[in-house]
Amino acid sequence: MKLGTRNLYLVLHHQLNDNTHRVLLADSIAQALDDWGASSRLSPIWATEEFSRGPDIDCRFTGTRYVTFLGPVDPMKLVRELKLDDHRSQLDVYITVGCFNVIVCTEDNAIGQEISGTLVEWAISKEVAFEQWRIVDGIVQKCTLGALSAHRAQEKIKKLAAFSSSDFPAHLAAVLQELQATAAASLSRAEAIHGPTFSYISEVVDGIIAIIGSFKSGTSDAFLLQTSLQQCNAALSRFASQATAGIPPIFEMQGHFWPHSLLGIGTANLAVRQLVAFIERVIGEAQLPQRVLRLADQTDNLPAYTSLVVGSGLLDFDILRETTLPAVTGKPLLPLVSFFSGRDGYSSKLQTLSLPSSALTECNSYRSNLLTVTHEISHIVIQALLAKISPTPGVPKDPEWVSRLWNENDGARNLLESTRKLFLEATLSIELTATTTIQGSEKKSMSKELHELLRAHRQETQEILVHTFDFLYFYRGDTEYYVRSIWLSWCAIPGIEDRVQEYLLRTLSAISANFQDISSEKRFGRALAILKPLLEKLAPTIQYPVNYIETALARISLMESDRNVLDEYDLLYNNRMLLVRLVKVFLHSDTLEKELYPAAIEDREFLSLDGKPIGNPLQYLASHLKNDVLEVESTWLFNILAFDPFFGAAVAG
Amino acid sequence: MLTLEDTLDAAKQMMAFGEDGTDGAQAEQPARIQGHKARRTVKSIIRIGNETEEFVRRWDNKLKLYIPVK
Repeated sequence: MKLGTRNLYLVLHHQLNDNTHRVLLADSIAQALDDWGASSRLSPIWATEEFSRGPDIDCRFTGTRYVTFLGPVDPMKLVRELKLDDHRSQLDVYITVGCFNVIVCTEDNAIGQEISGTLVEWAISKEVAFEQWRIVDGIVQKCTLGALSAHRAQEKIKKLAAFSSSDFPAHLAAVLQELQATAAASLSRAEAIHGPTFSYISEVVDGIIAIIGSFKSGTSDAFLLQTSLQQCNAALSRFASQATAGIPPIFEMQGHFWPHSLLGIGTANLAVRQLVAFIERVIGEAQLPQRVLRLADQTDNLPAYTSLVVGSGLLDFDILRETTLPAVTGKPLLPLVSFFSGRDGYSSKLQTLSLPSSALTECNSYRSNLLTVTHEISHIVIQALLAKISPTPGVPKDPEWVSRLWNENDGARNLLESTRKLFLEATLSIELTATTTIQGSEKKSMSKELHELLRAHRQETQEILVHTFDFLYFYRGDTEYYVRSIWLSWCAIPGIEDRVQEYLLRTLSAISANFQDISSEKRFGRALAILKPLLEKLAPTIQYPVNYIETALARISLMESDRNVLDEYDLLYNNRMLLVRLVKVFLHSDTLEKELYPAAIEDREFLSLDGKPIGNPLQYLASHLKNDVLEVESTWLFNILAFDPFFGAAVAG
Repeated sequence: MLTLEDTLDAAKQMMAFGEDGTDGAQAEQPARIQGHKARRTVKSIIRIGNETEEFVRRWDNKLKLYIPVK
């Protein structure tokens, strides 16, 4: 089945004067918004080439029609199992990004009635949610609802409801109440439409309950609980309102993302969940932060200071090979709650992940590239890593090891402390070059409280760690692909020209993970020599009023003509190399990287839905990245990702 | 994505540093870039914790290992 490129809008008007629901199919957004009322809703839908009778005879709702909404379901599974190919001339099939991602329209004749009945029987037998409308001259006359009901939500809702606000500090009462209501709505709505989505929300709620438990047991405090609950509330609320809008009864389940107010964006949410679950299963399950802690067990043959900071002796270290985790039963990871947001764009918290709403219409464009989630997920891993290797203000035991590692060349007592030493060295050297004052002719000095120093450079150190982690794992060290991806996404963000030189440093730093074995004297020159032609190739493709790549190239030209500028960047770059080295040596694993790319890509015809596995979501999405895309491509890719058999039931983690 | 323990550890540290999450590119602040040449000798004084003890070290020999001296 192949999607057509014709963009249509399904519009529902609730006519208050006679309390009827009028349906129409519009060819343009202007036509869809014509005669718009307070209770009007719309969603973009896409005709299929095989099951489309053309604009003159398709589902225009003249006469009597049956419209059956089904989903979330693999469209090809439905077409094959119901042998819809045998009835091509009798029906229209449309594809959407809503929870109901398949719409089948038939006429009110013998064959049409038979197909409509078969659709309902099939949906019930396969536990697929559905809703069927009988429409006469555009007015919905009869509505049959097909929500699922496993009666599993109540148990979880009761568990959450058992938390009494009187057991918590007063300022937590409101946030706890919001959580209870949001989780109840999310669980019950998910249960009504899709088993795997319900399981996923259940796991999210279990994680929240575990965090509440940590507060009640005294292992976390009220502020931490408040922060965590607020973040989860906001994310869960958005997920539920997006993924479970437009479910039975459609009339009452309005989506609040207005271009999709009729059917919501459940399939897009599902696709993102599949992608994130895939990464969680590989990178998350590896538990890299816990493995770094395990380095404390390694106390023999510790690297001397020199081999810790330079040379190739440690570059073959593989943390997956060198560490083992204690056997864990159950599901130890808290799943990320992912959602779309026009305001938050691509960003993450420890338990949540936001994607820009523009990704709904151009997920495979370099501008809104869905694969940017890897950068945000890298942030989460690095935050957890920093908690293991960076001193924390207020932790009494930290000053002992900090002073020992800073004052003794070989003060590390185990490999974990070697990792910490590398981090401290990096932070201090960045501080020294950034803020020291010159005293005398050749000396600089500084005086700063430890945590002030760490705080001052925490963001920059984190960004270098994140960029390097992202580059090595998710881009597999492919410099050209990496540079193209990150610079084309930066170029789409207005008003960040003053950050270009910092982005330049981050790029130069990350790509240098590929050549940590060469001497520091040659490394910066090598990085520049690799980056410059890549940027030169990209610069002419930028069509925004401000071209950040040109700005970066101008900066590189200045380095080439002014030795002082070159030395300045050389110094800043080399200060960051210890962070790159930290990721390369102590976080990167060739074994784990291979797990992210387990199978060769299975390509398919453009806009075709055939139910075949895609092989690997990261590689598959990467192979479809372009500058200019059609909106239908996002619908196509979301429907492939959401139902790809390769993932199995990954949604539930 | 993280275990409960790693989530709590990270959250505690982020709160201690006054952070509440990781922001995307649009929320990032540019770091300072100042014009300095590499110096051969750097003295650093770091105060650690609440103790009055001060640590003084000369940085030159170590820094040279990974920063080319011009």
